Amino acid sequence: MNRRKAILSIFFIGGGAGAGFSGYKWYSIHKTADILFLENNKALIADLAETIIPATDTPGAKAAMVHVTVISMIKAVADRKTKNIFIDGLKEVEQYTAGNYHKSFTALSPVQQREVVAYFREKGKNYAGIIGKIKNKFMGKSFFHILKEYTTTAFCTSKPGATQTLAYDFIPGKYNACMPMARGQHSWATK
Amino acid sequence: MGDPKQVHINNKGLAENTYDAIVVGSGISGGWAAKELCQKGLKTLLLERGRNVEHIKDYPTASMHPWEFANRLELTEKDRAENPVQCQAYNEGSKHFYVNDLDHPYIQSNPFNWIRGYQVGGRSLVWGRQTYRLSDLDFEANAKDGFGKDWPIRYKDIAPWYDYVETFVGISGQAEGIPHLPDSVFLPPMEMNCVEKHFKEAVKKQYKDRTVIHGRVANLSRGWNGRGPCQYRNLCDRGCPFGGYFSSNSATIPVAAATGNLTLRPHAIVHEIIYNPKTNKASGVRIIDELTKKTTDYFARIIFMNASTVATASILLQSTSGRFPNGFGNASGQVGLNLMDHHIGSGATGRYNGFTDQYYSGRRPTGIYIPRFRNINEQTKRSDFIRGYGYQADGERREWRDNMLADDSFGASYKQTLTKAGPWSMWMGAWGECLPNPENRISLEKDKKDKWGLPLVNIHFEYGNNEAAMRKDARQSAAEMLDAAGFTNVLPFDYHTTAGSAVHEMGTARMGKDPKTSVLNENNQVHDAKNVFITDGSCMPSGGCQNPSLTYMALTARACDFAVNELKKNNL
Repeated sequence: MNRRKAILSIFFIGGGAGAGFSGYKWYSIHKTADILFLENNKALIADLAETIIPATDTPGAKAAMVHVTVISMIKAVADRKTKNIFIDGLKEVEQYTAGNYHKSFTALSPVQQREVVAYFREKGKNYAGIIGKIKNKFMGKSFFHILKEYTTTAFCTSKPGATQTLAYDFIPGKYNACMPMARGQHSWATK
Repeated sequence: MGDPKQVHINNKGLAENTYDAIVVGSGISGGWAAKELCQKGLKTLLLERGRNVEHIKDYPTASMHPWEFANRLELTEKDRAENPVQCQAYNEGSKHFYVNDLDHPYIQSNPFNWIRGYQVGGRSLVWGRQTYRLSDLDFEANAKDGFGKDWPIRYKDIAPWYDYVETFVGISGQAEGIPHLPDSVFLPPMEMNCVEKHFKEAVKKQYKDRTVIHGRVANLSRGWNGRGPCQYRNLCDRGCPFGGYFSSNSATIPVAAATGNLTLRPHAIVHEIIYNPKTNKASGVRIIDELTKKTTDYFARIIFMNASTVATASILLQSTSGRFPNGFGNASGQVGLNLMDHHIGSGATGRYNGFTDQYYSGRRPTGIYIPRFRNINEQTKRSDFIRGYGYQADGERREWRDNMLADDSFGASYKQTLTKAGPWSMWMGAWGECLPNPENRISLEKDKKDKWGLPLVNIHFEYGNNEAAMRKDARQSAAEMLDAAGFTNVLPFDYHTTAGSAVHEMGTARMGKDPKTSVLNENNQVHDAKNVFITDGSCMPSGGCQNPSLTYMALTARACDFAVNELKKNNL
């Protein structure tokens, strides 16, 4: 038995799969995801994505239409766990901002939006090391983690993201194996 | 170069079903058989079970930008549910060159990824393009350690044919004079980047028995035979509109077509070789049309089987007759046995803190290679395993995908981080030899049928102790070498990769000296039916640790030459 499997059996076969995680939590990530809510909250997703990757001297997530791609990827690419954590996270964001700011997230100032995202970042902090990895595997990644991962992927593969924030050369034509980093050289968008 | 439009499409009746030669399968070896036989003047029927794919015209994703893919090349839940095996090899840009697992089921007695591309060109469209010769270290391995049966040929028999196919294919690489990894006929190599050069120098200093070389790859570093050069897009598996790498579609089939001797018949699922007891030879093959399910017989003087390792063995097993009750050419009982792959997914990664002012441009479609250094001679002999592995490796700077989850930052500072090339890192993984073992085999499930009523293939395959010991050494040695070369954060890994994942299936109709223990002779001729030649991966008595396609190509060209000479002498 390999090391990874051995550790998993200590935690989950003998010890009981529920240890530390409630039955409700298990249900909440395995239920049918509320796709309608996802589709009806484009503006919320666009503002959350913009908070992760804002417009600076180059376009941000909103201008790159990241929300459209994030919605498509949550629907098609994400597994059920990830779908549920993300959509439930969106609902929690709205509840949290309603409770603390008496407004919708989209109506907050950029500074307040950053405060809210920072709150969810802290809330999603995982255990360090192997226990954190196991928690991720069984209970899924945190809302913040998913938001950041999907936003980044959608942004860096978008035309504005790839061509303006990163460096993109669709048909390089030649290979330069080793060259001094030019001033202002951005990292490549594609490998 | 040939115009694919010159390909004859056979839609006539039985009267026109006779050819000089039939080639079953249009992948990397079948394309070669078609080219050679057509160029030697034989009217050749090339049968392919899937659809036609014309070079350039049928590469729909080749010029698409990442943002033109709805899911940005990520696998979907549907992919994972419906295509659990094939999706491990494809992405949104190459999916159309792989079969659908639902339509093409097989049984896995043990987990084995059988990755397939049923179309003209087969998997030559999506292959990894690494090309390394075998040497006598490989050809003599079975005879020396007693696993498997001896190869009926040695390096000298195949060397001129390596030269011959390489001269046509175009292989980028550098001559090194390594006896157990003979040089090919090379185009200029694709250069190493600075961290790879550093690694090469460090390994040279620290290890007398190891060397780091350029990846040898069937991508064209300059224009060659009307194809290429490579544009360094690294999007090869979508098909290359520049003809920058070798495939049947870009290279062999157009040349075959240009002779006027080629008839290409897509949608033709060969399920039987027809045996003629009066001549002790095959008279032709029987196909089922993929679309109409209609059966047709085709006839020829010689038949080349190039359906790929598992498929060729399954066609042989399905072809029963009074003479061959257990399958065509299977008097030895060896058909289907000794299935091999290369084991992959053990090695190490490391980070290099230096060269921060150096970068690269263009996307090189290959990496670097560390040729086998175990069990070469007495000095390098191991007590824990026999045979060996080579490493494929790649140095690069960390980019957005590697950096995005490095910390919890977000906002403008995070965006700034994404634009910066991160530290250099190196990945190195072993491709290791898998011993021939009759327990690793395919069989047919007579009562489980596919859409065409053909029995499903059952794959029985497990790695043994030798492979496990080799993986352990590959992991440790990779970490040691990175460590010795000054890398930090060195992490040995074992991905526990599912067998079959190298997509190097070999064995199942091996060549050999003795008809009692092998299926094919030294010319890839079926011992018991001399006008049938098998030159795909199934002919391999052992697998070496080198990527094998080049060897199939050389064996195919060699067998075609032999076959045509025999025809001229009226021996077939």
